[in-house]
Order: sequence, then structure tokens, then C-alpha cells
Amino acid sequence: MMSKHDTTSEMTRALHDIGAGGGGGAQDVSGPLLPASRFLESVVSALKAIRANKMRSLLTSLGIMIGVMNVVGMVGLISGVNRSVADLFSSMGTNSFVVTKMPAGNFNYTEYLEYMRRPDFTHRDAEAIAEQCPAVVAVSPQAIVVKKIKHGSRSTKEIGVLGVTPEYQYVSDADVGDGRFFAWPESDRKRQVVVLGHPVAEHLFGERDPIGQNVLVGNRRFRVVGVMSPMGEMFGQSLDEYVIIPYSTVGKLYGARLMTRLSVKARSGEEVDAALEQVETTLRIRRGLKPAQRSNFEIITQSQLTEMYENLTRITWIVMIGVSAIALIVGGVGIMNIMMVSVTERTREIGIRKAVGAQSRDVLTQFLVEAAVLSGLGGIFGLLAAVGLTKAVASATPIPASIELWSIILALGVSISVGVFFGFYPASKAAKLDPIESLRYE
Amino acid sequence: MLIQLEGVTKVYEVGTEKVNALGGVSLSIEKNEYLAIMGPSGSGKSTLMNVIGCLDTPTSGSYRLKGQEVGDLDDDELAEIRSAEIGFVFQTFNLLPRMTAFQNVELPLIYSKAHRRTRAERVWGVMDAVGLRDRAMHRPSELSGGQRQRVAIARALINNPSIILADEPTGNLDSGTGEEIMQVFEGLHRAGNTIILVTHEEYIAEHANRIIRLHDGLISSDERGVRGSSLGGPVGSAERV
Ligand SMILES: Nc1ncnc2c1ncn2[C@@H]1O[C@H](COP(=O)(O)OP(=O)(O)OP(=O)(O)O)[C@@H](O)[C@H]1O
Ligand SMILES: [Mg+2]
Repeated sequence: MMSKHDTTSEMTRALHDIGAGGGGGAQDVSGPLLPASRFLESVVSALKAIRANKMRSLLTSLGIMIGVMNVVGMVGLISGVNRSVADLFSSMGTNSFVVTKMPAGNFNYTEYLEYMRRPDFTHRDAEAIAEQCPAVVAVSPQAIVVKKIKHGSRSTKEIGVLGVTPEYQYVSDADVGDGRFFAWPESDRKRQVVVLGHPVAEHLFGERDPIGQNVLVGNRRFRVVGVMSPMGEMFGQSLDEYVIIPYSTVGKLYGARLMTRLSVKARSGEEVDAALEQVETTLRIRRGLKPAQRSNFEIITQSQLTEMYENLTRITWIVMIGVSAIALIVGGVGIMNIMMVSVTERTREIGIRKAVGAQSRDVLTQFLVEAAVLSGLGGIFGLLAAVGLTKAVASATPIPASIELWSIILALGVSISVGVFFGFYPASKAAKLDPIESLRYE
Repeated sequence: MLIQLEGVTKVYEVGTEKVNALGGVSLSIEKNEYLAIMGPSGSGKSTLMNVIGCLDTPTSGSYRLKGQEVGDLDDDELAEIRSAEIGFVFQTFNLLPRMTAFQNVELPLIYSKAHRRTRAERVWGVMDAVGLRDRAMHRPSELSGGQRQRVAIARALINNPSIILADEPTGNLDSGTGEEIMQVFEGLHRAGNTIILVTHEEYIAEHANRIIRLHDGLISSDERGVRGSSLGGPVGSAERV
């Protein structure tokens, strides 16, 4: 320990060294700090203030955490679902569209009856389109009936039996995994041949080779010529639970009026629009429609299907946004509340800061940054929770849910904005405090 | 003239009642004066200090600091003056409890926008000046009262202010520690600083070379040259320098 005397002389010397002497003003102050490093400092001091009240801060940021988890988790989930739907649509065949009696989307019973009264498509319609539309490369009429498929003692539940022409392969891009698709002669002669969906073959035959075996479609005997490659699943629902038989055979066995649609494939992506127009014109002429008359058929493109799907998911989005907004508002009010408490508790600190030269905007910034950091931490926790949630969903269900970069930006952006918004009132209250009264505050 | 007050009044309104904390104070203080303000409790000492320190503005009258009329300034300009010209030392130290001594001393530099690189050097400089280099990384709760007050003095010094204002700086200290703090002020005065300090104790006031007595918000006496001959240097070592 230094003696009192030594201390004094040491001090005096030091004072001369630093040039104290009431020069007035801090002349050796260099230019203003870089805003970035100044900002970083306030973030660090905000983190310190938050750390001083760990439990309180954690509870406060819980609301934000739940809100952000909800936003990010749901966004991940929905974009996962969207992706699998997009996959499905593109597996329907590139550059292809369908011509049907009924439009895609919702309609009521009266409309349904009206659509049902529309003329059916005939084989001749399909031939006309193939011949008269230069932008069309393939047409496949399709008819669907629902039957049980049986082999020996094994049977499936009722599944779709799709009647198509061999062109279906080109129109739909569907691949035959095993054996072959049926050929034109078989189709023309209305042969009872069938191509099985992958799980159907597995269910009926197990390990055994189904090719050349007989199955019952309903109560008619069909010979298996091929098995389709699996397309996969969506929402735990297999996309492969169907069988394919020749279109003409459907007509022979179940009546020709069953044809419900035509699948059409355009020559290329650029020619899809031309194909749509040509198909419409061809059908209108064949049906003798006058220019003023509405078409009595519908053309459904993949983009229409996508749009329809998006309309459906939009409702989910709206609900999700509503729930998230409520969680974030509740979280934000929590932050506002805790910041009010903090401002009151730290009135004296504010007084001290002002006494040593802090301006109102310095205090404002300090508390705004603190609110933003508090809320941002909630956002980070929410993001981590959402990552966990999506991982769990992705491993437990077939939905390819995932967190993308933009949802991280969204999480931080949303939570920080909420913090700044709800922190503004307490922060401006702090900024407006009178220095003397604050210093006197007990 | 560093400080010039003319007919400064401060009126507080509490409900319908008006309290005349300062009733018309005229006072001039020059550079490197060492002034003690004395007076009974409630006589307006702290109020006067707050006005001089630009924490508060007069209700009427004129206060010029380095020729600048303080009454004309807005809150942010007052904050700038506090940052550049004023160093406060309080009776209750008023350190931020969660920060180390070093960080407390550094605080005014953040608001005076001193460059980060020069900050540490300056903090160490004033820490040396108050003899607390080895306690720099301690928090206030880990320091004695006297050490805390030295930290507060270092903080007051950091921006190299024109005036150091101390409101009962020894009020919360025992007489021995109080005497040590007074020696720090002694050194500061010797180094050329202007010091204004409020005290209740005659023996503390005797360190100053001018004593002003307040009574009900008015100056009742103004003695100059108290010190010098009658008291001499309180400590031999100080004279060695
Ligand atoms: N914010 C305020 N509102 C109302 N009255 C006030 C306020 N601040 C001070 N006063 C009054 O002004 C007068 C002077 O107060 P001041 O604090 O300047 O006295 P002081 O001389 O410092 O007293 P002490 O020695 O007890 O610290 C007192 O009567 C006090 O009650
Ligand atoms: Mg007082």
C-alpha cells in the first residue's frame, strides 16, 4: 500500500501527464465513432443489461419466441407441402393439360348437374385433336372407374382404374418400371391387359413376379403386362395406387360414355399456349358452337391447378398470419411492459448517463436497442424451436418441411421490428426523463 | 470570466406552492478558482450547483458559461456542454453498479464521441491520476467508499472539463477517507482545474481558496483568500511537486 504522501505526488504528476487543467472541452476528441462500432457497443451493453435479469428476460421473450416459431415453422411446413404438390403437378407430364367437362375448383350441386349434362368426349374428339392441332404432340383420352383388384385370395380396396391409350406414356411422363405398357394393337382390340401401380403389384404379388399373371379388375379377368415406377407419396397418401387398362377396353366393359377427359401434350413449352388455342377451336368447331356461345368443356392447365392449390393454402396462410400476429403482439406488449419496468428501475442510471453528457437520443437508442435485442433473442429461440419442429415433422411425416434462409431473415426481421415498435414508447419515456429528478430517484 | 451568474433565481412549484430555491444569485468564478459553497440544509446549494453544471436552467436571471448564455440552450445543447465542460462528483458517488470502475470512467467518452482507440489510454491516465489503476477492473460494490469516490472523480476528469463540481463529495465518507479525497481535489486544483464544491464541514471548506455562504437562496458572504496564508499546504508532499 502506498503512503498518503506518495499517492498525492503520484497523482499530481499523473494529472500533469494527462494535461488536466481546465483547458475546457475535450479538444483531443477525434471524429465521431463509426456508427457500426457504436451500434455494436450498444448491442453489447444491451446484452449485459439483459443478462442482469436472465429469468425476467427469458419470460418476456417467450411471446416473441412463440410468434416467431409459429411464423417460421408454418412457413417451412407450407413451403414443404407446396414443393411436394409442385412435384406432383410436374409428374403429371410436362407441357400437358387436360380437357374436361368440369372445371377445377369448387362448384355447387346445380352447377355440377349442369356440367354433367355437357356432351362427353369421344374417341373421335381425341383423333381430331391429334390430327388438326399442329402444336399438339399427343392426346390420350382417359376414363376412370373405381374397382377392387384381386389376385387369388388377396384384394385391394377400391382404387382408380384408369382407361388410357398408349399415348398416355408420353402425355404423363409416367414410366413403366417392370414389363411394358400395352401397345396399340392391344388397345385397338380391346384386350384385357393391365399395368399395375407399384404398391398394387406389391400388395397382390409380394416378392413374386406379376408379369404374365392374371388379376381380377372388378369381376373381369385381366393379364398383367407391366408395373409402373413408383411416383411416391404425398401427405402419407400413395400416388401410385391405381391400375391402367386400355381406354377401348373401358368402353367395351363399362360403356363408352365413361370417358371423362382428354390429356393433351404440347410439342414444347413455348407451344403450350398455341396448343390450348388449337384444342379449343377444334372442339368448338366439332360441337358446332357459334362465336357468342360459351364453350361447353373446360381446359385445365397445370398453372390453373397450381393456382387453385395456392388459393386453398392462402386460407391456411391467413389463419397462420393471424395466429402469429396475435402471438407477436402479445409478445410485443410483454416487451413494452418489461421495458417500462426497466426504465423505472434504472431511472437513476438514466440520470447519471445524462449528467455525464448523454443526449436524449443516446438514451433513446440505448433502450430501443435493448428492446430490439431482447425481442431478437426471442426470435432466435423461436427460430431454433422452429428448426426442431420442422425436423420432427420432416422425419415423422412425408412432408418435406424445411427452414430456408429467408425464414431466418424473416424471424430476425420480424422479432427485431416488434422490439423496436413496442420498445419505442418506453425508450422515449426514458429519453425524456429530467436529469435532476432522475438522479434524485430512489 | 469562466462563470458569470447575474440575478439567478430558481423557483420550484409544488402544487400551488412556490419554493424559491435561489432568490437572485450573482456570482463570478474565474478559471482555476477553488470555491467552496456552504450553508444550511435547504439553502439552495445543490440547486446552484445544478444550475452551474447545466443540469438545470435558471427560472430568471442570466448564467454565462465561457460567455455563452446557458438559458438559451435546449436539452441536447445542455447535454453537450455537460459532456465537454463539466465534471460532476456526487455525494452518493452515482456509479453504475453493473459496470467496472474502468467502464464507469469511460462512460462520458462514449457520449463525447471520443474515438475508441484513444479511450483506453485516457481512462488509464485518469485512473493513475486518482491512484486506482490496480482497481480498474473491479465493480463499485467491490470498492471502498473512498475508492468509489475516486472512480467518480476520475469519471469527472475524463473529458478534461473546464469545471469540476462536487456536491458534498465527502458527505458519505469518514473523516480520514474524506481527507484523502480532499487531497485528490487539492492535486486537481494544483494542476490547473477549476473546482466548486459544496460542503457542510468547515474543515473541508478550508481546503478552498474562496468560500461562499448561502442562506435561503441568497449569498450571505463571499470570502476570498481564506486559504493560502492561514492554512498553508495541507500536505508536505504536495509542495514538493
Ligand atoms: N425538485 C424540487 N421540487 C421542489 N422543491 C425543490 C426541488 N429541489 C429542491 N427544492 C427545494 O429547494 C430548496 C433548495 O434545495 P437544495 O437541494 O438546493 O438545498 P441544499 O442547500 O442542497 O440542501 P442540503 O444541504 O440538504 O443538500 C429546498 O427548500 C428544497 O426543498
Ligand atoms: Mg444538497
